[in-house]
Amino acid sequence: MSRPTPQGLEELYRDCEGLCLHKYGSDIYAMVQAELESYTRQRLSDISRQHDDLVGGSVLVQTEQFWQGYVQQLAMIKCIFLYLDRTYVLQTANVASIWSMGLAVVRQCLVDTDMKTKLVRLILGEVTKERDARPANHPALVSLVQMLVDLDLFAQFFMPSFIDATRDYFSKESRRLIGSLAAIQTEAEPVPAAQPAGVMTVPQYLAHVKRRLEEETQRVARYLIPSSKTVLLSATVSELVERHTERLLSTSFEAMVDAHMVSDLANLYSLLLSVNQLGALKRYWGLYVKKIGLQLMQAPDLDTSLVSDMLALKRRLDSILQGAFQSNGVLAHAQRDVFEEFINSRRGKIAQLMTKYIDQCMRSSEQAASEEGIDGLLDRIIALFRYVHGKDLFEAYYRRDLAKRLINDKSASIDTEWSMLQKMRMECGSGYTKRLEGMLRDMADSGDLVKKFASSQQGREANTVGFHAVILTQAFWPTYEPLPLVIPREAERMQEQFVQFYNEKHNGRNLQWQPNLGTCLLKVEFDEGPKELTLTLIQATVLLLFSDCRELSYAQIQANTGLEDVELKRTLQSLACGKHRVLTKEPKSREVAETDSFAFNAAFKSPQVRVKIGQILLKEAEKETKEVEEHIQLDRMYRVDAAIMRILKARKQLEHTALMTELLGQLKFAISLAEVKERIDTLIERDYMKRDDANPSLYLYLA
Amino acid sequence: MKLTITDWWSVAGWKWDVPDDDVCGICRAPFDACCPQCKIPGDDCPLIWGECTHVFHMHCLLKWLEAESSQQQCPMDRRVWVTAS
Repeated sequence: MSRPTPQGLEELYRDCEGLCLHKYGSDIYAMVQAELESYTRQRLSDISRQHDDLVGGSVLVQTEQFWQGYVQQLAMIKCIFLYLDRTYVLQTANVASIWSMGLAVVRQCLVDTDMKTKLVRLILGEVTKERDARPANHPALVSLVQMLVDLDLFAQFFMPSFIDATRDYFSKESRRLIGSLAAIQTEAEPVPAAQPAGVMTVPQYLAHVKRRLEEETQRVARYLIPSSKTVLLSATVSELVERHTERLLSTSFEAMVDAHMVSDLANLYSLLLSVNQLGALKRYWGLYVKKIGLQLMQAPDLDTSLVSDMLALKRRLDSILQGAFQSNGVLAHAQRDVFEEFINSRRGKIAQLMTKYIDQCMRSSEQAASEEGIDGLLDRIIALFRYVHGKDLFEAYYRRDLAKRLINDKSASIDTEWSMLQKMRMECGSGYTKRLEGMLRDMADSGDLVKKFASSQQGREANTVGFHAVILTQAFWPTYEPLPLVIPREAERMQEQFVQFYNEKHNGRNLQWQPNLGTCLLKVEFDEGPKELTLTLIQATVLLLFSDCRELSYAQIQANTGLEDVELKRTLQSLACGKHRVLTKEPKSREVAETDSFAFNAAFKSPQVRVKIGQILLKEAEKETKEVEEHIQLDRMYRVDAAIMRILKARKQLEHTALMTELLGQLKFAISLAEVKERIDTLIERDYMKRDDANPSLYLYLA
Repeated sequence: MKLTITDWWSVAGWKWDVPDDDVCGICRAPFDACCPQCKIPGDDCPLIWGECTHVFHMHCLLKWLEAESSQQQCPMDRRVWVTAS
């Protein structure tokens, strides 16, 4: 067909024109078609015959050459028969242009013979070579794929086989690699000299998958049509990842999180996201968080280090969530749920430990100087606080600690106290922090009050040098047991003057002194020299008795102070048997007996000028904790009662189960059904409600 | 031997100057607690004393006085309410 013709091309064109003018168009068309068909059939069967020896390369090359030549010549033929194209073809229905007809001929030839299948198999063979990183005939590949596109065989015929082959290839590869996954080596362990070839860890495998996807994307750009990209990539990732999701996660997920391999986890996340397997990731993430959390919570001796451990854990998990999982909502939600579950797994324990931890932070000024600053730390604590159930219990503990900090002047910064309360208010509303804020205001008000007192008439009369008073609004503060104590006359006088002054300022209020909360600074002349002693008011009162007499018996001290045995014994113990012995005791021993007698220890020595005399702690902490809990229990009981009555009042009558559902929806703390039943019984007893006579599970509201 | 007080910190709590466990004649809640409208007792929910010596939560009494049926009388003794100064 490519042989030069004896006639010139223009001559041929004119001949064609002449024939067309004489209505021979259809004959010429048929002849051209027949000629193309016989030529194509001949060439392809020639190539096909060689093909049987399975030396793919040469067949591939020859087909490509045939195609290149054919297209060139077809263009020439089209030019020669241009007149035919313009007249006969245009004027006759259902006749394709010479160009289209020429392509259709080849298409038909390929389809009619088994050449088509063989060709596809050969192309796929080349692709596999490329994937194996073996040398492949890239130009032939490009040109033949283009041929399939031109012949309209690509989408229908080539793509399905191509995708099948792709799946097959990656399915084999993934099974081989997954089958021999290696464990992740932590840094602590010695790195093995060389990994056996083909053995990968999960992170390496994920990187490999990423590389494969990148290659396939490039393949599309190089010789496939763009629309095939989605199908190809999804087939690839589905074989490499989706089928092995469970295996990948179960083998190494924990180890990867433990080792904080953020970028590898990011790979894992994006791959699982692309195959819609986030559900599995969520499950593993939840299990991991739960496992670590419960380990922390179930330690036999919990102390405040639990809180810092929790904060550290949360920070670590959050950084993975952000860095690797793009703060995905589903995963964040799973993490939150699990946190909430384990953090509350020991009832009120976490509230107690957290308030204790906050107390330590608030007392030390070190935190403020640390890297993130106190504010950052408080924010992280609040994030944990959100998970805590039974916020009322938390508030009660917090209030107890805050009260101690304020009264003993142990808070490092009042501004920080305010900022913490502000954060808590943002979480729980202003009702929640109202009492706590009231406490801080009481402290500020007391300071002002004392200044005014000092400059007032009563103040000047009482010569109130060094007199300070803290006035607590009792409703805000924890309740303190009043303590009988006869304080020194001098102090008594100052307090009386203060009460007078206070009553002038505030009508209708009663002040009740709480000697067990106060403190005192005493200047004492010892043989060694003057010392300043920091004491509780009780200790000071006892010690001041010795300014008049050198020696006193237990009974005399008791008579002069009015203290009860327990309190007196512990006070004397702290003064006579503790670290700083400003009293001596006869007979000497560690414990105080009611028959002992005491004397001032003028020979007291201490390297410091200021000495703080510690108090002997009763088993107060336990008692206090119990008190707080009982108080909360009582408070909750009232809340349950109120909630039941609110619901019943609105409904007039209600079935037991419906009441329960509504009740549990309203209450913000966990309560057992037995407890609720008990409350209902007492309400019935008190005639606030009753059971229906006919239907005992129906409750009626009684106005 | 010499002992001198340099600084003395006293702590006191204040309560309304009414008998313990006494309740407001209007809402029947203890004076130490607050009126039904308030959540937190203390300065924000003060008491009010009448010249007739009766005491109420201020919020309770004001609400009562606003009602026409009260005729500006003390709910306990029906004398015209005069706040004690």
